Amino acid sequence: MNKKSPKEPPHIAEFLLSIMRGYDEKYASLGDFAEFYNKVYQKEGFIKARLWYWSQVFNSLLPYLWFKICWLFIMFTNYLKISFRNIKRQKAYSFINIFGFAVGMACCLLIMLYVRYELSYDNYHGRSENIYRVLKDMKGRPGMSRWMPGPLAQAMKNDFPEVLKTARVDFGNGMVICRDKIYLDEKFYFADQEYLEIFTVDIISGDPKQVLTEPNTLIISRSKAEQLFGEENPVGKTINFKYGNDDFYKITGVFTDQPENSHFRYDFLASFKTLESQQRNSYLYSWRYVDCSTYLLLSEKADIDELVRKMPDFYKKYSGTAEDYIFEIQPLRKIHVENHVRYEFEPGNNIKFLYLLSSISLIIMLIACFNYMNLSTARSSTRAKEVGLRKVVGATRRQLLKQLIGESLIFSAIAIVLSLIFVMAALPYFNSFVGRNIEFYLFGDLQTLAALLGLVILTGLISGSYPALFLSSFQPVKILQGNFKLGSRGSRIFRNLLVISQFAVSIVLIFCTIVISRQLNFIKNRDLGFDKKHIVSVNIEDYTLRRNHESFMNEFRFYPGITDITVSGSLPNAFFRGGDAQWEGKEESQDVYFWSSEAGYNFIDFFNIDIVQGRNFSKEFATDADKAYILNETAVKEIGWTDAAAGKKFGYDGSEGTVIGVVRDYHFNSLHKRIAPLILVLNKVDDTFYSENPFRCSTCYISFKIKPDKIKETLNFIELKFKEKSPGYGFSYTFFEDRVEQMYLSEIKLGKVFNFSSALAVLLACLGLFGLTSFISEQKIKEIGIRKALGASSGKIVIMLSKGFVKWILTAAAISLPAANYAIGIWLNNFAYKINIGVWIFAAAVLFALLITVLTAARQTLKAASANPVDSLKYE
Amino acid sequence: KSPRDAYFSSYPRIMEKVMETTKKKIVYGTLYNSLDNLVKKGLVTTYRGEPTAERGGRSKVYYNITDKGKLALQSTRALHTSLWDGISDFALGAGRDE
Repeated sequence: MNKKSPKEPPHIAEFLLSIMRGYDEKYASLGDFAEFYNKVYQKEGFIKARLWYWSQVFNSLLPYLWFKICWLFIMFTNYLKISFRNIKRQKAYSFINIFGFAVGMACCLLIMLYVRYELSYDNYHGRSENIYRVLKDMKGRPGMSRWMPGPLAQAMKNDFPEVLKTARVDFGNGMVICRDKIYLDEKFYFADQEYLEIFTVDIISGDPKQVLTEPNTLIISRSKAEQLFGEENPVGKTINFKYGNDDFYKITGVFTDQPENSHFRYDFLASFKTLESQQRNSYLYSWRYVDCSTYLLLSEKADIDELVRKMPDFYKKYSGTAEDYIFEIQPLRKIHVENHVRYEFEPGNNIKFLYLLSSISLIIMLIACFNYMNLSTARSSTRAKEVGLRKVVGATRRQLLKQLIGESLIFSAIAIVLSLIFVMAALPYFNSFVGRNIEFYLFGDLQTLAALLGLVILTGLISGSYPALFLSSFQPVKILQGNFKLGSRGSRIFRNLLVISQFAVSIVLIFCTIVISRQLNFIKNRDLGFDKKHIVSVNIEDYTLRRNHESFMNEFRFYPGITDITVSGSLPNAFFRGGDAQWEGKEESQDVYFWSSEAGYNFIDFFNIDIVQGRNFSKEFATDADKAYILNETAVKEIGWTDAAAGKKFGYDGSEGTVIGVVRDYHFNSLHKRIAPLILVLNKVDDTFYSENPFRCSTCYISFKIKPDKIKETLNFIELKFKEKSPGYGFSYTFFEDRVEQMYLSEIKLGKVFNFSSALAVLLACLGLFGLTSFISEQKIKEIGIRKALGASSGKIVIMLSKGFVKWILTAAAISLPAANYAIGIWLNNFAYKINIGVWIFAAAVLFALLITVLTAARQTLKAASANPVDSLKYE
Repeated sequence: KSPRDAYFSSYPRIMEKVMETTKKKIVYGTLYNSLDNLVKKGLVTTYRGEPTAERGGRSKVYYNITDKGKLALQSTRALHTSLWDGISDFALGAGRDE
């Protein structure tokens, strides 16, 4: 047989053999295998040789693996046993650790669920990645606007090939009347038929391609259909949507209710053609008026930046304006979390708030981890013997590390189970706090499961790493000799750092909480310049009533529960009118934006606003009806009149007249903004005005001042009268105070978040502190005993023990408070009117932390300090 | 072949011999441990040889019996012989012993 050249055995198989360490180095075994392989190869050929080699691999490898697994199992059960034994023996410390982890994990979980939910808005639309909304900035006002001219949509389709489809959407402001029942505040919107082609709407009856092609048609959600029609099929039936006049719509289809994570939701979707077909809506065809939201479906390869660049010229071409607007093509998925657009259909969320919540949950988790690290290392002397012994019988450092980190992983795993219970319990409250309906099905949710696993592993690894390294570095000789000193200087400094950072975080949170709550208090109690208590405002739906309100108001004047009554076109935070004005002595360069409101004769008196110059509206002057203007102080300042403003010429909104008076500045907007220039005019009552502007909101609100002890009856009376006068209309009212509070909802939410998180952080820090102090007291038993024997009083001992903590707290405060001050200052700048952060707030935060610390440590230190020296010195 | 081969046996040769004698296919890596124990007890010595192409460039380990090992071998054989002597023909089933 001819000798074939030596061949190499299969590489993969060789590699597998080499896994069994020691085989190769000691016995040069791979070489032996190679030799035999060649022999087989020579004698019996390639295939047989390969077969032989692979069979050897399996024969050797499998028992080896099995051996390793058995060993792993044995060691694992041993570690498990020891860990549980430790837990049982040190119930208090274990509880502190597990509880701390569980709390931190529960926070992380809840926040993760929430953030994920917020970021998932509108993701159920099939083409959500390619859907965008057109925005442009607003002159004179901050933020972007979603209001576009009616013809913009079609023009974009014509001019830009990347725009595949467009849809216009508008909100319908009116009442739904179905079978003689009136429904107010319904989610009624208008949309192009193309809307259904861009967005994913599940139409269950009716022809999806035809439902919104005709005017006066609408589709209704399934739940609404049930509410209005019960079991009957609503298709083909008629609904009256009353916006001033009766307007009848035919139901052409039913759709399944949208998922809750939509940036706006509708129960009624009417065809946009309806608006276009109505005479009063001729502005929809003009480029000079903006009104509806415009959504785009762009092609896959569309270049957003390029489109944005083309917009200004495109807009100028059609609208003929000289204005240079800034445009934005906003992705659908971002609408919910960006809040730079004014007057969204429904309020969204702020990505900054989400970041804040995420950071807070991370911080709380870190505090829990620091607790674990500190407690474990502090108590290491109790485990020193075990570590020493293990090393003596042959454990390597690596094995010890595995054991100790395994222990912290076990803690972590137990904690996650506990935290799931916390999350389940807290979910309803959390949902009501954030105003969402987040569901949590653990096992259906792969993402969450993965996140949980990640959380367990990360927590265990991070918090276990330091104690494991620390403990496994002990030298057995020193331990078993009893010469054991607790760690080097370096480790002590590190532990102190951990405690200091825990305190720093707690102090920062307490500080921010105090500032936020003071600012909220300030807002609540600040004199807004007008009365707001016990005032109820009713929105007048009936348009004829808006004209004839004088006589109607008389019906209330003598009711005992009502002390005053007035009428106005807007209320604070419900302003819709504004614009430029003309005045005597106006210079070319002056550009002032005025807000305006229409008000009744006694509006100023009703709300107790001060007049600082001139006079109020009065029936004695017939010209007041349309030639009188009242300005506020800021308006006068911006205009620049230095002498009396009363009597000067003034023109606004197409009319001209004179200023008859000036009122003291009052906060007609939220405290976020500086008081702006304001114009007050008398509300219009003449018929010509209303025939030209039938839907002008000149007298939209009637406000009543109610005696506080007669609220309920008075409200009933008012409702009765309204229903009498306008039988076909609904009735709704709000308390003025509530309206005002509405403006600060996000701040109130923020306050709650900080309250809660500081409470948690303090709780955790205290738990950790509790454990630490008990332990340190134990350590120092001998020292205390000696000191007492030499004559120190219990009080002195307490002081001695507490000195350490006080030092830590003061250090923590010194480091963290400046940063906190800076950060909260940024938040406070959101407000034009804000509190000053006085020195006392800093002191309060520190003192509060000190107090908590002392209370926590008190029990342990007292116990230690009052121990009988005889007992403690007997302790060997 | 190097002169050493005459005195020392390499692992492959040992395995060959064993498989020949027992006429069984043995898992190739079984003897490593036993040989190692013998080395530890001083009954066998090892020698590291030159790398060869056959072995993919790895060197070869040779084993040889020591004097101590020879003594141990002899005493084991003596023990086994006496044990076997003690087993009568009767136990092996070769008829009755009257």
